[in-house]
Amino acid sequence: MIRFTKYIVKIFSLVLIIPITNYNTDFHSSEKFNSRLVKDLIINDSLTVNSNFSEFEIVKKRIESINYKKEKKKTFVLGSSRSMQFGKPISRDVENLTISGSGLKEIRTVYNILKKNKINIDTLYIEISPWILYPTESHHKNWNNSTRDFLRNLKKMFSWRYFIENLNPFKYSLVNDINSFVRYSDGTIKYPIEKTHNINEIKNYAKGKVYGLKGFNNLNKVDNRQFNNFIGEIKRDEIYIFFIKHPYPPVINQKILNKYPLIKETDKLINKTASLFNVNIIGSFYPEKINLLDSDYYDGMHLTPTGLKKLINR
Amino acid sequence: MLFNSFEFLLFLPSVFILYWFVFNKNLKVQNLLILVSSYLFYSWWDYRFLSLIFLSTVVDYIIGLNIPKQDSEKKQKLLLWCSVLFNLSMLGVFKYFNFFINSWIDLFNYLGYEINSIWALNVILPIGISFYTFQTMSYTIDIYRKKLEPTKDFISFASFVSFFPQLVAGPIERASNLLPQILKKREFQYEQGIQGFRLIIWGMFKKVVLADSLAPIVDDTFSNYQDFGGGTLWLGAIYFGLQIYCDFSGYSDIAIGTSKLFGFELMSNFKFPYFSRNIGEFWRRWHISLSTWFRDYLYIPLGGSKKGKLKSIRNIFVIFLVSGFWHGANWTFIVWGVFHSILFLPSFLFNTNRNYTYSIIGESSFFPTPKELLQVGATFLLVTIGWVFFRSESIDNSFKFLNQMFSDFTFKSEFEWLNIYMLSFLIIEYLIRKNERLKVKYFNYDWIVFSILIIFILDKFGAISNFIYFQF
Repeated sequence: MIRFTKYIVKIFSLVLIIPITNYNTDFHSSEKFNSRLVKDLIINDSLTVNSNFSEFEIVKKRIESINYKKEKKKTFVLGSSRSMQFGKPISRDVENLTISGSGLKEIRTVYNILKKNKINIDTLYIEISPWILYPTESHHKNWNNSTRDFLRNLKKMFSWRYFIENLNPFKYSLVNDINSFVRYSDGTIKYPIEKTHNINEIKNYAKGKVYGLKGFNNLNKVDNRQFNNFIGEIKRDEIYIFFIKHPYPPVINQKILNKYPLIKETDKLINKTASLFNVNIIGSFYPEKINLLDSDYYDGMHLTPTGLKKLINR
Repeated sequence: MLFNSFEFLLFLPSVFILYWFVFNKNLKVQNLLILVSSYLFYSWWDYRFLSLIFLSTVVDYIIGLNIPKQDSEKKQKLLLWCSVLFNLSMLGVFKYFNFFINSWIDLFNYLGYEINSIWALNVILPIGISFYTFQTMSYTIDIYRKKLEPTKDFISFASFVSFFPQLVAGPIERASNLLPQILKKREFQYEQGIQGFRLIIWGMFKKVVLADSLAPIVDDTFSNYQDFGGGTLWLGAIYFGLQIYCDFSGYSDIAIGTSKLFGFELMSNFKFPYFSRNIGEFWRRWHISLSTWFRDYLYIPLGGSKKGKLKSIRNIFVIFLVSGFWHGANWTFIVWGVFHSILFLPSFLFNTNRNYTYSIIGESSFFPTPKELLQVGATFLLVTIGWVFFRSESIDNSFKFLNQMFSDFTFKSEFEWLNIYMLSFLIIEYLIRKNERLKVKYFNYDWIVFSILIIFILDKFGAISNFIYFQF
């Protein structure tokens, strides 16, 4: 039994290198790292990104770090990766606080951080994702404290992928590299040069389950009460609001609308909310209404800057 | 309780410590610990169905004790039939009742009589029922055949029926193998312990890392097959073949490995079935505990291959049909069974089904011969076609899926990394093909390999997913 125990200890001693390293060099939660990145971003105006950051932590840090209070009232964009180019890439002067996969919970959390930091807000562009009225678990579970979050964080500590990320000293660079993702100081991104419009990728996108909509087909669950409360709150804060709707590319849009009836239901309810609170809507869930072509998309859901300009300027 | 859950990570070491360090002096108490642990393990899923296991245990314990006491063969047979009918009735009610009712209704509706179902039962399938009922039946049948003495030790017998490592998804153990081990004092052996630990890691890797990575792609392919080209559907079907293998053989490895940690040797359930050179060999390597069960308790009593060609063909057909039906109350499984009987028949008729009984691909050389490669490839493709019936929601879907597989060859390739993983896995399987139990030492620092496997497992661990064979 002693030999057996020794063997088990030997095997696990190697395994333990992962959590010990991850715990000590956890860059996602590292105040120091996030502060340095945000500082470099502001000073250099853009950074080449080689690793996945905790987008939420960076957004939070940007809100806390940049002294908006001294500045005039500002315009902010809240939403998911679909709106991540709304800013410098299309020559608009806004602060982009979008986070990949955001739903209502994420958008609301970011808004509350803005309020907590007493930021002067003039206008808010809120992206209406097809899943915004569907009750979902937050994509970024580390925002709350619960047992599940503990287990999630524990799992991250044992992740070899995270271990490799932690060891990589070049998580971002100050050099502007067109072959990688570029992150601008206003929070927007530029895709790598090799990412171009790809019609096959678009067509394939509608096959199988669509990102963010998997299992979302119970129309009874589509509910705009929480959303209306949120919009009512923003209105009471005397802030201008615009809703942005991104359609799927024309070649697959009808198929996705048929497959996920919740999109039409969401559209209907959002239109009601917009007229109730007198909010302007930019874009549509129907690409033909805003003359968007398949060539205006990189893939099944992300517009090119040209496409985004078309959508915003209409 | 699932093997791939945090609960099991706590449960296994706790039972192990109690078993070897606290109750190691007394065999009866050790067996009682196995029983209590097994009932706790099962009740983690649903404690109400423990009553079924207990009932099955009591009935077969009493019948087992009484069979040898009968003074005539007729009375012994009557008792045996009581046991068999009792176990099959449990299966019938909980697993097949609704299927029969619905099939009758469908038939009458097809003939023009409209009938609404009022008989269908609102029951869920108790996990493991197909496994432990077969296990207890083997006990009474072996006593009847005088291959086994009944045990008077109820605790040991109950531990045999509910032995937690293999309770819910096998291997389906024979009483003649496991029960004597339970009745005998166990000593901890280093080699056995190490082998058990390695098997648990390897099984966990197959389940958590490989099978669970394939699962969403397979689900997507089979749920939305209309959207995909034939090439992609072929890949989906192959992925399912690999998923079910990694899932089920992974479970079996964990079960065998866990048993080894407690000093027990279970039978092998898989011996690299995808390296089979014909369908006969495939069935000697796939779900061995079930196929040998059917061979010993159904095929041979029916006459096996000793009563003429026609009867032999009938017996083969019956055994495959029943094997398909065992998997679930759905026509898809029955068609899968029939499909395999059709694949098997030619080799039976030409007397080639017993080829490759004891050898494996590349038996005397490192690389397989071109002939072997062709045979393995052909067998794999035929088995893959069979998996389409097994995995589809309905017969109609399976034929549409197959039709698309053979008519449209467009291909969506976005899983290159997964293909590399699976290919690497098959290469590793090939390298260890002569030893499914992972012998203690391959090379000096082979423990590093197991450390790396644990690192991969931990990365994926926690996304709770059931084992496919739990539904059977």
